[in-house]
Amino acid sequence: MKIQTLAALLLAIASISGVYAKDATSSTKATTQQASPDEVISSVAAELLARIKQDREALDKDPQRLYAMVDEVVLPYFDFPLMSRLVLGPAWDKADQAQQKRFIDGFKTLLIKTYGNALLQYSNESVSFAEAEPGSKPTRASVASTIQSPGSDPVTMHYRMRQKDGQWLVYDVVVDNISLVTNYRGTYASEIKRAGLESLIDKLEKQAAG
Amino acid sequence: MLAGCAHRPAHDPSDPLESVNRGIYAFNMTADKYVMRPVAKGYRWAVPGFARTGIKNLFQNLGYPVTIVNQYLQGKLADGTADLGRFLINSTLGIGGLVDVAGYWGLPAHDEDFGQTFGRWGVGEGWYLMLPFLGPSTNRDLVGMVMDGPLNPTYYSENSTTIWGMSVLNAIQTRAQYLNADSLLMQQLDPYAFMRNAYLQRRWSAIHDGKPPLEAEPDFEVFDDF
Repeated sequence: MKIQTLAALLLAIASISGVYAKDATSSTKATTQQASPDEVISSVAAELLARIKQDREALDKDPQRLYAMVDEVVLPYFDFPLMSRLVLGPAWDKADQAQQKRFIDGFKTLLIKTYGNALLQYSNESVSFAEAEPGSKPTRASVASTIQSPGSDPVTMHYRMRQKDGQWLVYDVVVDNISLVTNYRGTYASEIKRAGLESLIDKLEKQAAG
Repeated sequence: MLAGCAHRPAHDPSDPLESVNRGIYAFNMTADKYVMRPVAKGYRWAVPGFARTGIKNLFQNLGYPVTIVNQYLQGKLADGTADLGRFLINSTLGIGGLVDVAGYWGLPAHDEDFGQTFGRWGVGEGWYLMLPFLGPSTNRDLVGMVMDGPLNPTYYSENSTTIWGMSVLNAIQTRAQYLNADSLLMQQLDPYAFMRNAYLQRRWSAIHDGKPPLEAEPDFEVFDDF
C-alpha cells in the first residue's frame, strides 16, 4: 500500500516537474524576443566572456578576429545610430546622409575595437549584475554591473537602454559615472569646432581602419 | 542646496589655461610612459591580488578621516557616524586598515573630500587644471586637496622616509588600479580632452554621491525615422 502511494506521488511529482520544464523552455523562447533589460545585458556579457575564455590565445594574436567576435555578439543589442546621433549633437542635423552613415560606421568600429581590447584585459575579475532600474519613461531603463578585481576598488558600469520595437537596446555606457556618450561628445565637439565635421569623420575612419 | 552653482556641463568645460595644461599633460604622459606605468605594471605582476587589496584598503583607511569630516560638513550626520564606525573597526580589528572588516559587516566605503564639500555648498569648479605629476584638478579641487592633507595621519609622521615611502607606494598602487583604462585613453582622438571630460564628469557625480541630476534626455522616439 505504502509503496503504491509513494509511486503515485513520484509520478505526480514527475509530471509536475515535466510541465514546469516545458514551461521553462517555452518562456526562454519567448524572452529571446522580449528579453528584459537585465536579461539582455547579462546574456551578452556571459556570451562575450565565454567566447573569450574559449579561445583567448587566438583572439589575443588576431585582433581582427576579436573585433569580429565582439561585433557579432554585441551588434543586435547596441543602438549605434542613436549613439552616433547623441554624440554628434547639433552637428548631426547639419551633416548630410552620407556623412551620417560614414560617422555611424566609423564610430561603431572604434567602439568595438575599444571594447574588445578592454575585454581582453579582464581575466580573473568577478562581474555581478543588478536588476534594471526604470528610467525617465517606460521605454528607458538602466542596468548596473559591478566588476571587482583584486587590488582595485569595484568599478560600476551602467548600461543605459531604451526599448525600440519591443527590443531593449543600449544607447550609452556609463563607466564609473563617466558617460561614454558625453565624453565622446565633448572631444568631437572641439574637433568639429577646430577643423569641421568632414575632418572628424576622416580621422575617425583612419582610426577605425588602423 | 546646489541651486545657482557655477557648474558647466562636462562637454563644455572652462579651460582658459588649456595651452599650459596641455604642456603639463604631455610632460605627465611622458613621465607615466617611462616611469609610473612600468612600475605599476611590475607592482601588479609581482604583488599577489590579496596583498594588493590589503594595501589598497590600508591607504583608503588612512585617508578616511577626510571622508568622515566632510560627511559631517555636508550635513550627512548618519553617513558620517557610520564612516566613523567604519574607520574605528578597520583601524583596530582590521589591523590598521589592511582588512576591510567593516565592509564585510555591511558598512560600505564612501569617498568624500573638501573639493566635494565645496561643490555641495555651491562653489563651482572654476578652471580645469592639469597639475604636474598629480594629474587633473580644478581651482576648487586644488584648494580642497590642500585642506585634505592635514587630515591624513601620514602628514604628522616625523620620519620623512616614512612619508616619502608611503606616498610613493600609494602613487604606485593607485596607478595600478587604472592600468585597465589605458587602452581606452590611448584610443582617443584627443586624450587630453577625454581625460578632462572624464575627470569633470566623475567629480560632478561624486558631489552628488553617484546620483547627479540627469541632463534632460532628448526624445529618441522622434529620431526613429532613419
